[in-house]
Amino acid sequence: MVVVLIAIVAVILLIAVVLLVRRREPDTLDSFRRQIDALSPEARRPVVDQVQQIDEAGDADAVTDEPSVADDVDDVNGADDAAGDDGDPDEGTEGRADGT
Amino acid sequence: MARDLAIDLGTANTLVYMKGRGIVLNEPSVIALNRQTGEVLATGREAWQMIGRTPGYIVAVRPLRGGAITDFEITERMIRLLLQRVGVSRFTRPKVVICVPSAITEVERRAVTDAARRAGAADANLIEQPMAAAIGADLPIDEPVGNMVIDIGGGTSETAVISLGGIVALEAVRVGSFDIDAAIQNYVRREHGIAIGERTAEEIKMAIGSADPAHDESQAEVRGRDLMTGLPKTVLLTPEEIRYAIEDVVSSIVASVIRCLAKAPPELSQDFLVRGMYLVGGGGLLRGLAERIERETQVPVRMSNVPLEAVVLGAGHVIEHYDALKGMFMGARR
Repeated sequence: MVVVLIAIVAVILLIAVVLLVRRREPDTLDSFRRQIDALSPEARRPVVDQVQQIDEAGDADAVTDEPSVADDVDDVNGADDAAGDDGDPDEGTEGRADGT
Repeated sequence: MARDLAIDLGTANTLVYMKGRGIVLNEPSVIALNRQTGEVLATGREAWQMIGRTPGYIVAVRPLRGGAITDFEITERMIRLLLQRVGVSRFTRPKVVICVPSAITEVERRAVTDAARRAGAADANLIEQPMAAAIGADLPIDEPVGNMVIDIGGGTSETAVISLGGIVALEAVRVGSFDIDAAIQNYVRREHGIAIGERTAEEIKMAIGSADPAHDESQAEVRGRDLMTGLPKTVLLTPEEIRYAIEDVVSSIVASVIRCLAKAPPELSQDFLVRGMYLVGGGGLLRGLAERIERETQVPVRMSNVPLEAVVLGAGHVIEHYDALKGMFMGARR
């Protein structure tokens, strides 16, 4: 009687393990497929559209905000200098957290 | 209900993408604090304008360096303020995906996720910047072909080969456009004897900086403080001087790209000759850099349409397809 019970439990356990393994295999495949599908051009369309919108907006800005550059010499300090940027490297590097 | 967020927490700039809305914030990663009280005085663009121009009791700092948190507490406060600005409150806690350099350590990773959670995120996951950049630059990474992306940021430069949604080869160096600015500062100090600030160095780089000679080059007039006399002084800088000043940094970036090419499997290597490499990140905008990489590697280099936003757009795509793409988070594959 005990032997029969042990055999039944063993068979049930075996079936459970087989079912678990079987369930896991398609899950891995399925999640990989879902990942690849989510990376497809169709899935990325909204992001791509946004990329194009930013690009178009950038082009429009480039037309309206043409930088003013002197004929041969760029004045990199510009008008900001009046605000007192004495270019102290210590001050500059202070803003860089570790001063590298 | 909070809308989930993707954050490109860069050394130079922080961009935030809100699910269903797109990019809602794009500001320098700078925070200005009162040194005495610890009170936050400004963040983002306002704080950036204070760098090098503050009285003694105010300090404007970049809490990230080389893509990693150098000051945990300040980073946490900066993230908290950013989240507040995009509508996150104590009662609306969104899921957050944060882009970080692939080369950061386990400790640095934990620092970023902890900072985001403590700042109000319900769940914080990390994604490698080159992977996000490849998605945002619209490369066909779902196909079994070699896609190569070079992301040059403020503090790191990363090159990755991506195929079938995964990173095949990766090379990262903790060198970026801030190192170019620092090289210019050091050169002007050493060769011309004048001190210039971080922002002035950046402006010189943008005005006449280049990695390869070009036809239409001009000189730049730079004002700084004479180290001998302490008086304001003006000097004229040429593009050749700047190229010489930044050569070490540029060479180091190009060398890392070459190392990544060498790591790529041969089957994917041949794809690069046809498809080229894609350059993203603010550092990639340096004049002549694409040409220099192309000349040294003999592989075509193409500039992304959105070099500054590619990373956050890629992370934004991940947040839009969170369940399908959560296997791409750092740590999920290991």
